[in-house]
Amino acid sequence: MDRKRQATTPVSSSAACQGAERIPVTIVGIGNEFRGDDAVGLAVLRGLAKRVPAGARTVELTGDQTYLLELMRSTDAIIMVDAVQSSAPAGTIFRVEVSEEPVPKDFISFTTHTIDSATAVELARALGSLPGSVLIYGIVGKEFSFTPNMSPEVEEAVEIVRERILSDMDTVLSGVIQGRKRDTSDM
Amino acid sequence: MSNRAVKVDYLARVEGEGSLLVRMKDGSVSDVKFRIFEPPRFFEAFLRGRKYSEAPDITARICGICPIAYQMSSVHAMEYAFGVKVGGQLRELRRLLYCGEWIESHALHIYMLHAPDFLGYDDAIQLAVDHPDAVRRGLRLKKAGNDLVAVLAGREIHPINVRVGGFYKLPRRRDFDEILEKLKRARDEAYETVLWTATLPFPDFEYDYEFVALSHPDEYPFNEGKIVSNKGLTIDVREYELVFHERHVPYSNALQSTIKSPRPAEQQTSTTDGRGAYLTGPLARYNLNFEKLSPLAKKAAEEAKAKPPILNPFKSITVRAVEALYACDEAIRIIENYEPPAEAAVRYEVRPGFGFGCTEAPRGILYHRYLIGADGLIKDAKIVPPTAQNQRMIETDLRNFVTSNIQMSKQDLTLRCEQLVRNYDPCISCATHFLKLDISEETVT
Repeated sequence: MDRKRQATTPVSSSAACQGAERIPVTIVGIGNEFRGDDAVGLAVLRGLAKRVPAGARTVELTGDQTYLLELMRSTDAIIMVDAVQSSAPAGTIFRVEVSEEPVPKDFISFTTHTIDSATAVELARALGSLPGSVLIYGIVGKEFSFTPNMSPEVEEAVEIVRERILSDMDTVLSGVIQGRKRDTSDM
Repeated sequence: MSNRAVKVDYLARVEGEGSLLVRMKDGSVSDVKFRIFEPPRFFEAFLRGRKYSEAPDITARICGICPIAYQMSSVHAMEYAFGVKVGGQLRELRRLLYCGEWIESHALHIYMLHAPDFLGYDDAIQLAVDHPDAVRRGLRLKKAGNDLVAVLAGREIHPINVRVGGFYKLPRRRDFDEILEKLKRARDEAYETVLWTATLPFPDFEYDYEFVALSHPDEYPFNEGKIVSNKGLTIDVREYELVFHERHVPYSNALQSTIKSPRPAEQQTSTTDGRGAYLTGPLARYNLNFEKLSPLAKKAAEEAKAKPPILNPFKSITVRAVEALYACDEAIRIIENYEPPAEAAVRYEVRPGFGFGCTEAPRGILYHRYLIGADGLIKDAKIVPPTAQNQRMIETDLRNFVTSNIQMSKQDLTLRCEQLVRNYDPCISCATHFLKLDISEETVT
């Protein structure tokens, strides 16, 4: 991995949240590239940026996840990709749609220092700023110590998730278009 | 004989890496262990052999909440080694950048993490259901800090514009037009936050702490000053390791910091003899530097009946609010007086030697020390984050609090212990963020 390049590649798009028009679809890769399998969300996203259709933006999120609240306020649909801890085998992929149902309780973790992505979703729901579509991809990891390398099983899941997200895009985008038409006809 | 234990796995994201254990036996506290995982050890090794100029961006990755603090301590350390002095508007811009980080970090902690404890909620989600206006105020305040960082540092998360000697790119005056208006609104909301936090119910608990913070003759400390305490300590940053001692404890991979005893070793009765644990962070800064706050921040503190000395650590939530207000006020002052300097960075020559830097991260002093070779490569690095420094004090607080409240139910005691740890806004999880998960959903392998 080219550490210098990784350290200086822009990883977030703040301009997208500063008064610009709503983005139809936002895909967020969440992770820490220094902590083994925790990098999987970023790895998925880095291979997706040039493959997503018009109307979708990709955002890497490596730190404070309250930023997700900003992203959710400025998009019609959001897809999050994150590493998860589970008793399932490493590389297992979970796909959860949470726009209508609460994030499963086991998704919500607890920390003294910031909020996690599942909490950000529920916070947005409580504040009435949840997008119409919220999809979470969780990839089970097994190695979260400080290392720049992911486990082979998790590496294998990366391209599968990318393909799944790309195949989701038609449905998600058409849902956004339908939603916008409804909003317009209601006015 | 009766035994009770309060055990909290704080960092469910990384099970077992951040936790607290309090054991009670026959009506007294028999053991307290606060365990954290400390990322800097990895980064210290990672930095060796890297170019000096990479340190700001690499160390910024240690914490997703306070990357500016890591950048600032590292550039100050490098500048010490090279004999560089950054002054004038470049120095002001550094303070401005730090204002942004304090605002966002303090707002996050006050509203998302600490306030729910005081109001009896499990988390910010419940707080948002019952008090949506308060949470929205917190999020707006936080966003003002984020946006300020984005203007100065290129982006709000993992900023990239800081370099040894100054910045890569300077903002123009008009770049601040929008954020200036936001900061003026944020200042009003920070004032409201001070008063709001002062209405929270504070547990009755005080301690005669040794407060340690930077102190500067002319300003509330961000980047520069001597390291001082209320127990007579006054040293230059370069003397840090002569006074502060780090020791390994078997249950935590973070090193615990203490102030070395002023008494000769042969007169000490144990390894914990002497001054020992100390507190760094908002409470320390505030108690040691209150007079350097802006008139508006002091007025808010007075109205909130929160003038120093404050010895109750639970009141740190109000202190953070006053500091957030000060940071808004200071940011507005700097922006209104901003004149772009001729050069984005001071010129310098790389020279071999030691460099020392210590700045005030939102949660306390952050010390960096580097050894730079003639080739500009980092030969050695040492990073001591504020949470590691506070670790021993947190254990002391837990021991004292539980001892005074031994009759409390286990459930209430557990909640209070969690709240007490959160007084320090500990950076347990700052380098990781994954979710605990054990559910059955669609599976693709």
